[in-house]
Amino acid sequence: MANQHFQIVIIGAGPAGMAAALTTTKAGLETIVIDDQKDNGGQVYRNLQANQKTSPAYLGQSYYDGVKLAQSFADCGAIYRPDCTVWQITDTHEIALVSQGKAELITADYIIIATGAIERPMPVKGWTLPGVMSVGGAQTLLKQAAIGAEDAVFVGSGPLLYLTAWQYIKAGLSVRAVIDITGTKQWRSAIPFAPLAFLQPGMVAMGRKWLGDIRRNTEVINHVIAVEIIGQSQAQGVSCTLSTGDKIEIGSNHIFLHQGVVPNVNLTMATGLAHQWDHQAHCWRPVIDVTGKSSDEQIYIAGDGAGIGGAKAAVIAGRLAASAIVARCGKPRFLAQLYYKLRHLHYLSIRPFLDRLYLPPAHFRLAQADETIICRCEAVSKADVDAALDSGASGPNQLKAFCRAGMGRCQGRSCGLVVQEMIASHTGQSMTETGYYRLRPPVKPITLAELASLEGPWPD
Amino acid sequence: MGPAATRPVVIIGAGIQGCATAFFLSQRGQPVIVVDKDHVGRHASGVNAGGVRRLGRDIAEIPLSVAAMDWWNQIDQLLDIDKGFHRQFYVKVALDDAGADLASRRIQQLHKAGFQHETWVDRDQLLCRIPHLTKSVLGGVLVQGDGWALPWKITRAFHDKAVALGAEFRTPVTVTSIDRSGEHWQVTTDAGMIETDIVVNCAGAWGGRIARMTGDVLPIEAHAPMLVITDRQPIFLQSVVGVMGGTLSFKQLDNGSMVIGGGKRGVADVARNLTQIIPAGLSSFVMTAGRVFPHLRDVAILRAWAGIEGYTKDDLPIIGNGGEAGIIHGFGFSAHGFQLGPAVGEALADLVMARQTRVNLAAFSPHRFAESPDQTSRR
Repeated sequence: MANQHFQIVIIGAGPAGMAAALTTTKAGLETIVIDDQKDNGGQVYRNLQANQKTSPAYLGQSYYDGVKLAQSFADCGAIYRPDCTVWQITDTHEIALVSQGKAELITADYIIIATGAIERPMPVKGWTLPGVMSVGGAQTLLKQAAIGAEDAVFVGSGPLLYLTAWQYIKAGLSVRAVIDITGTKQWRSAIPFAPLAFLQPGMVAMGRKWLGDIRRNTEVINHVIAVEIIGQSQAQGVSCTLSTGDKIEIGSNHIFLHQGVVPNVNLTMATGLAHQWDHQAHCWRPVIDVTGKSSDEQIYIAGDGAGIGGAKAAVIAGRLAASAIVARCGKPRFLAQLYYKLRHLHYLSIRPFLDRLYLPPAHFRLAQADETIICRCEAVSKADVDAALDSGASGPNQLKAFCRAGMGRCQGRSCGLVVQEMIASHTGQSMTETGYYRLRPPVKPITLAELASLEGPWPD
Repeated sequence: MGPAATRPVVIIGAGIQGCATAFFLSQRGQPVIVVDKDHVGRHASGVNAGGVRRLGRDIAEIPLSVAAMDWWNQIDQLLDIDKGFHRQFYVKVALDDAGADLASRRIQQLHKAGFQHETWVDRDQLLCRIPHLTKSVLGGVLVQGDGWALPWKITRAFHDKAVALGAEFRTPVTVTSIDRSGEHWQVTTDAGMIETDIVVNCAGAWGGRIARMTGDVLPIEAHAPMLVITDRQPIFLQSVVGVMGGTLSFKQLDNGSMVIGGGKRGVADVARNLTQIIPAGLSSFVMTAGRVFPHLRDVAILRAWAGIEGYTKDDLPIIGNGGEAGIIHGFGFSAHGFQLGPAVGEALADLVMARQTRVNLAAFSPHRFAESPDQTSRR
């Protein structure tokens, strides 16, 4: 059977993917949008259609900003394939999918990867205990199922932490405390970039509002230099050490951790595209030109997956990448491209400030206690990683063989950055020299029967 | 017996063959330097399917494989490791009449050549040994005492033991030229020049390139056979299972994950050290696995990968002295060299020390290609 071919394949239906589809379909290009979620919107506009009916106010205006985009996307004429996972893109731009138990191969003239961000791991002692989850996970439950926990403690830093704590408070849930790990040193390095941030007065005002409301409604603990989850078989609270040396313990069965988001590079790396270490945001990002074109002429990357910029910047990045492709298909879009380039820069103006302010201090990026689990899938502790480094593992890929870190289901999503930083600090190399795991297909797990379905039905 | 040379022997390639050779030479007091452009077990030796089998080998290769098994049966003591060799049995099952036919011809052929190690087991015996096998199995060819090992663990253990005995490993170090200088050889690398009397070429898929530096034209093709590993399942299989007339190797590791190999090739990019998975090929051998173990329908695949391996025209390895004195080749194992490793290491060490080898290596002579350059492929 010949592979189905499309002019444009967009992977991910968050703000960048949806916006890109608007531009390509308007130009008359046959577009398919592949999304591993049940509904379009991505993480930021998750479950928007359903929530719109009851419109709970606690999700905040920034969430409902997505309504118009989602509506236009539904009407744009792109083929939308929800619940469909891309598990490999080959050098010849063959895209391997799996949907409803069946694998498919499709090909494309152009591919736009818009797979968004993932949360940066926060490997504090006890972070694998039941009752501890990421703030992103907590927010997903709130958006998807209106589920929240009473008396939760939020730990970490960054806009998503404050937004979610704010949404919790607005939803009438009692928040036990917010433990903020942002250090004074980070304030000092961020302040020079504050004037640039004010090019986005709306965002600055929104952030101040969240923080103000949080302070009025719960205890905010600052100047925290160490955090530990208390509990043996279940989280029972969190203990934090202040810069003064004092220790504070707060009891709770629900601890939400977060220390920022980073581009989700699993698909772009597994595809073999060039990546670089971003010193400012302290993460890997794909190498792209100003329009989002990757090291492969046929593949563009838009939105947070190319570098964290937030939903509004992602919409513009999606438009920009799509316009560049439309132009390459013979329909010049000089003015549109210029407009999107300028608006994209404008939206990114707050990033230098945010990236510096909310970069977690090194002792939070690296695990402190020997027994802290680093690789959750294979239960590899800090002590195990240290032992592998001592016995000669010289890089992330060798480390896999020495101690199995990164060999599990998540393909390093929850340990990659931690392991890499541990290696770099052990060897004295830069993060660029140390490099990242070689990622292997399938980018997300698929079953044997799903894979075999390219050949035929599974034998009984 | 003292060392063959006072200058260290230079071994190029830190895969299983290079590491095993370094081990045997070090054990005999011969100084060695191993250089590798990457690191220990980086390619085929570290990431192959790990089959430790005499089953299904080319008749020319059986004596070497049998000699290797002597070492495998004492691998823990040899290398100071635990559970280095999972010894059980290896079976190639017949799923249809064509497979059964192939099996009976194979056993006859071996008997004629004087080998008794492969035996036919019928359906009931086989289902008794492996209850999860498809009920439609007809029987299979089995070798008792074959099994599997973790490739990286064994390659690394040979390295560790060699180092403990005094071998020196230099990685990542790339050899750029090999030149004769009077009575000895100059091995030029990107990290300086090494003078030596004897060079051992264990460079796998890159072995042809190294051979050319010594003046030997030994054709080698690089391919990347693909493998997948699954999520963990309750243990149901201790042995290794293949298919008669097909290309499958199926085993379950101690942690419950299954490693499935199928001989299907991905893309090998030798220049960039990269491999690429081809989805259709994966699908094909995973389907074969499904025909053997239908109960695994919903088990998740965690990863697919491929290691770069060197193949010869006749699928037999190149083991022996090169055209010039002081050059010894040991590469081109064509994706079945892992089990041979210990015997190859021993044989190459014998060649270095100018001793009689335990196994006759005539079938593997590097000169077989020079003598008949247009020999037809047996593949």
